[in-house]
Amino acid sequence: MGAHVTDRRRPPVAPVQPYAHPLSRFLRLFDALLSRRFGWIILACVLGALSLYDLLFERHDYASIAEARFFYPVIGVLAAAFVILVSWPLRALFARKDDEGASS
Amino acid sequence: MIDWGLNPAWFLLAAGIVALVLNLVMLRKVLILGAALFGIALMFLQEMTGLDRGIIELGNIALVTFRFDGLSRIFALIFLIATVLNTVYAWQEDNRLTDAMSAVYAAAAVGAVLAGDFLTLFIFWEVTALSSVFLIWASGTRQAYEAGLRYLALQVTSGVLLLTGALAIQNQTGTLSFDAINPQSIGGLLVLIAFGIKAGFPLLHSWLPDAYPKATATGAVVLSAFTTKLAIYALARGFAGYEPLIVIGVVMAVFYAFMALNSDDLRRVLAYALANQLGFMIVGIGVGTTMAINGAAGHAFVSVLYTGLLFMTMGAILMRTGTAKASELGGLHRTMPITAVMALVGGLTIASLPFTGGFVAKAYLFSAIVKDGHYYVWMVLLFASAAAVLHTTLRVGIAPFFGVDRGLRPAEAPGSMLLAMTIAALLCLLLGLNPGFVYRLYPDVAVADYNPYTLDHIITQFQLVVAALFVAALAGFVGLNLTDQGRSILDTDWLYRRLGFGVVRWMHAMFVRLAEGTQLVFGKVAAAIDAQMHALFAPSGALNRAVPSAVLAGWTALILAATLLIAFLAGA
Repeated sequence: MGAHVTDRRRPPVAPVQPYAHPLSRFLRLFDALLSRRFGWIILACVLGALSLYDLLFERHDYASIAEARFFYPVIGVLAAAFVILVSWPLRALFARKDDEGASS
Repeated sequence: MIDWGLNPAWFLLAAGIVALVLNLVMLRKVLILGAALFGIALMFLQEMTGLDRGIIELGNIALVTFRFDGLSRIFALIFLIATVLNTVYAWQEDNRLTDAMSAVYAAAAVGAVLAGDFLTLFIFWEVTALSSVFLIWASGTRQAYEAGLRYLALQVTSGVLLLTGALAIQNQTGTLSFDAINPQSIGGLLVLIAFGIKAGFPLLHSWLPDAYPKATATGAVVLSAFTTKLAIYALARGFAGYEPLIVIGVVMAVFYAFMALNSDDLRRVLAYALANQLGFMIVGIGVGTTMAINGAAGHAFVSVLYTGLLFMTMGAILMRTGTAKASELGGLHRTMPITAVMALVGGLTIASLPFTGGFVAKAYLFSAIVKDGHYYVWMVLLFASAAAVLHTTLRVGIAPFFGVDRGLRPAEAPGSMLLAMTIAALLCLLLGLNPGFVYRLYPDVAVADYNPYTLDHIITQFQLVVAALFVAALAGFVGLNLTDQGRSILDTDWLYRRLGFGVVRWMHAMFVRLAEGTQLVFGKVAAAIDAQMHALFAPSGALNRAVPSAVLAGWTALILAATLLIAFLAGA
């Protein structure tokens, strides 16, 4: 096995496609919605609309704590914010190249 | 006596062995695909015939090679479905060894979940390890070769621990039957560690993010389906209700979420995401109620589909662009729109968005966890669910296709890959739209009557997912990148990459110095002895020196006198 291995990365098998795929036009709108400038505004609006449900209706959930208004949006925001913010110092302290220390 | 039973593993194993010597690509693929489809048919035939046992007697040992019940059925079925998908996905690839080993690997996984005793389980357990390593080595890179060796070492260790534990259990209980295990015994503990290695328990998981990203594009898809889910089955069979598993599962769900978010290689991200999902299942097993075991098994069933789908999309990208690094990918929806949609479906399924299989399975599992009173555990798992939206839905399902355009314009994935991805995506959606399909497969259907689609539940799940996406989008807007380019954060692989390697280098240096020192000391002693011997025996040495006759006569007389004196004294 060892005699046959190589360190070279294989080149892409397929030739480059110079033009957009015909089906990609159906994804343009989605792509535009995800743009860095507007994406968060759209998502904030959607989240706001979904959160209205908590104001208008009494929910019944697995646990009583989850019946509190805006429980799920708050958990979602806190979890995502926590993961992103904790990852920041973690990367500063422990970042390394993907294969650092490997013999090759 | 040999009673084979209607065990699909034998047919798949035979197909794999024949494929090993079959040069005709198409015939090889058809053979494996046929064996897997026949296996699925057998699973349904089983219900009608009621033949649920196969035994092979070898002298005094009876191997229960086939035990068909609710728990083994759901795992065997998903393994066979995964084999069909994997074979279709790899249809355009002509590699006899990996084709054969994929089939043998799948057969061993099916055989293991249908095994009724520890010895049979051990045999199939080891075959999964030995066959799957070829899928890593097939990449042909030095990194893949080394990762394969590390993978093999850990997998074989798992097998050795399993056998040792099983023998200890037999010594204690008098039986090799694989049923509920007492984790308080030494044997039980060894078996738990053996299962834990394959299930990716914290500190035993390094092989997962190490090996999966190094496998071939198709190999990683195959690897993602079997080994870890086999371990989940084994834990559910042997350690249901063992409460420390709840803690282990929670740690896995949270810890691996951080690791997934901080890796650049998207197949490494998926390896962590897979392990993160295993955490949910292990919590279910730790809770141990009938409903929780149902939930864990159902979640494993669906997760084989969506993790397989996501690995397929990343495999297609790797094949077309030569990279799966997040920092090098973006804007691929322009030329790979079908793959983009498939990745999106996989990403939304792992996020448990309503109307996907992930939602159906996770809703049931969460309900089981809460019903048993584990509210805090449920809240932590909610947290991990929201994190999954970031590390997988966003980074794997969306960013490579709709992220910043890196100028890559690869062609769309080959037809066979697209077909496999489409089938997997449709299954994810079908199970989501019709929960009964998956609930009917649960080990205990008596408690599988559950409706995840209440309006409250749908809205709250959307709230959770959209809230996480909103925060990620906001972070992007303010310029807070989710990852460093080309970098990951340290994992337990530091132990062998840095500490282990350092210790080996230090020991080598010490050994060299010791050898040099020893050589120096022994060299001097040997030289001194040699000089003395030379002084004594050499032609010019003391013994060869010419001695006057008178002196010799004197010495002779002296020795004779001494001898006479001794003889006289001895006689007296």
